[in-house]
Amino acid sequence: MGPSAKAFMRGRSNRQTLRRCKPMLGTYVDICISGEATHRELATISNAVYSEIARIEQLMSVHMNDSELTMINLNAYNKDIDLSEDLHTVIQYALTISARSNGIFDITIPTQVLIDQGHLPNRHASIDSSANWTDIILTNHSIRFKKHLHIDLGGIAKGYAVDRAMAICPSKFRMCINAGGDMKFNHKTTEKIGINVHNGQTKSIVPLPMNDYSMATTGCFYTPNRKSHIVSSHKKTTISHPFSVCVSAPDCMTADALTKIVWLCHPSNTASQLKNHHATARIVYPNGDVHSI
Amino acid sequence: MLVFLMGMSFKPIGIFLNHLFKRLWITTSITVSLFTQQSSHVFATTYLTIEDARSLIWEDSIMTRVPVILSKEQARSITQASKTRVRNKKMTVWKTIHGGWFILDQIIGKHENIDIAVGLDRDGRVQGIEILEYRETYGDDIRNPTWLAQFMGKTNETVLKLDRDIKNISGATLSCRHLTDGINRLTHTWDQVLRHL
Repeated sequence: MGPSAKAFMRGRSNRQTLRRCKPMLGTYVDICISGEATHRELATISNAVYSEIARIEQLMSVHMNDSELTMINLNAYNKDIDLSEDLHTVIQYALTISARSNGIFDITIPTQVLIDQGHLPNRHASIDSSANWTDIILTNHSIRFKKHLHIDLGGIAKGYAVDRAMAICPSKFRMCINAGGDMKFNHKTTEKIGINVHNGQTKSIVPLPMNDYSMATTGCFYTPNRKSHIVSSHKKTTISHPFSVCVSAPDCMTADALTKIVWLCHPSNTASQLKNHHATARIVYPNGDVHSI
Repeated sequence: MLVFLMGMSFKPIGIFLNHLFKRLWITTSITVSLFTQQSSHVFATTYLTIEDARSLIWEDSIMTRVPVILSKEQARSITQASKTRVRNKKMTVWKTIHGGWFILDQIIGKHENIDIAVGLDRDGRVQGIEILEYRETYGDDIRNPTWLAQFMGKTNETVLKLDRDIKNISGATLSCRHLTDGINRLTHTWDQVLRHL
C-alpha cells in the first residue's frame, strides 16, 4: 500500500496529491490537486470541480440534445430567448472578440461546412450561409438571431469551464486542470508542458514553459486525415496547418479564443491582438522549432 | 460472514489486478514495438489505484467479486447492440450489496489505451467513471537525442529526465469518443448479462 493510500485510510492530514481524469466536454479532463489535507478532502474538492464543469457543459455543449445552447440554436431565430448568466458571459465575450478581430473569430462560422464534415451534429433546418456574428442580437438578458443560424462555442466554452472550475478550488490548495489541452494552474509553475506536434508520420512532444496561468493549443492531427475543424469565416472553408499554435494568457477562455485567431491569421497580424489580451503565442513546428509572437 | 470476508479481500485483489494490467500493457507495447517500422514510446499517466476508484464511485459500499465470462453469443450480441467490439470476454466485476456494479475495463482507441473503472447502479445507469491509467503512443522522436538537441541544446542524458518531467500535454483536443463507446458497451453488457446475475 502506497503512502497516499495509507493516509487515505487513516484520514490524517499531511501533504497529499490527488490526480483524477474523467471524460467530459468531449475530451479528457485531468485534475491534479495537492495540499495539506486528507485524501478524502481532496476528493471532495475534486468532485466539486467536476460538478462545475458538468454544469457548464450542460449549458454550452452543442453536442447535447438538451443543453441550453441547443435550445437557443433551435428557438432564437426572430425570437427573444432568455439566457443564463454563464451563457450570456461567454457569448458576449465571443462577440467582443469578433468585433476586435473584424469577424475573423466568429461563433456562427458556417456550421454547414462542419456538419458536412461530420464535426457537428445535423440538427435541423438549413443554416443561412450568409449569417455571421453581426446577426446575433444580445441584450442584458436575452438573445435573438436575425437570420437562421447556429452557434458553436467550441473551445471558448471549454476554456470558460476550466476558468469557472478553477474558481471552485480554495486558494490554499494547488491545482492544475487540463481539459483536452486547455490548461490552467492556480499558481505560478516552472513545469514544462508537452505540446503535441505531428510530422506527417508520427506524433511528438515539444516541451514549453507555461508563460502564464493558462494555456491552450490548437492543432489538427487528431482529426480524420488531419483536416482542421477551424473554419475561416472569410473563406468559408476549414484551414489546416502543419504546426500547432500554443497561446498563454491569464485565463483559459482568452487563451483558447486567441489560438483560433492566430491559426486563421498571418502571425504579423496577431501581435496587437495578443498584446491587447496580455497574451503570448508560440507556433510549434513538428521538427521542434518554436516561433514566438 | 463470507460476504464480509470477500469484501475485505478486495484490496489485495486490487493491487494484484493493477500490477497485472501494467504487465500486460508493457508486454503488448514491447510486442508492438518489435513489429512496427518505427519504434513507439508510450506516454503514460497513472491516476488512481483500483481501491481509490472504488472508493470514489461507491464510497464504503461492501461488494463481492463476481466471476463473469461472456459466451461467444453474448459477446456477439453486445457488440451488435452497442456497435462496439467486445475485446475481452472475461470481465472483472464486483457487485455491491445494493445491486450496483463496479467494473474494470480497458479502452483501446486509435491514439490512446486506457484502464477505466465504471460504476453502474442497480438500474444500469452510470454511477461514475474514473480513469486509472492513460497511455498514448508517440513516435521515437521524443527519445531521440538529435531531435531534442535542436531546441534543448542538451545531451543524451537529458532524454530520460525530460520524459519524467512532463506531467501535462497540450495539443489538439483528443476526443473521448472511444471511451464513451466503451461505456455504452458496458451498459449493454449490464442489460444483457449483469442484471440477470
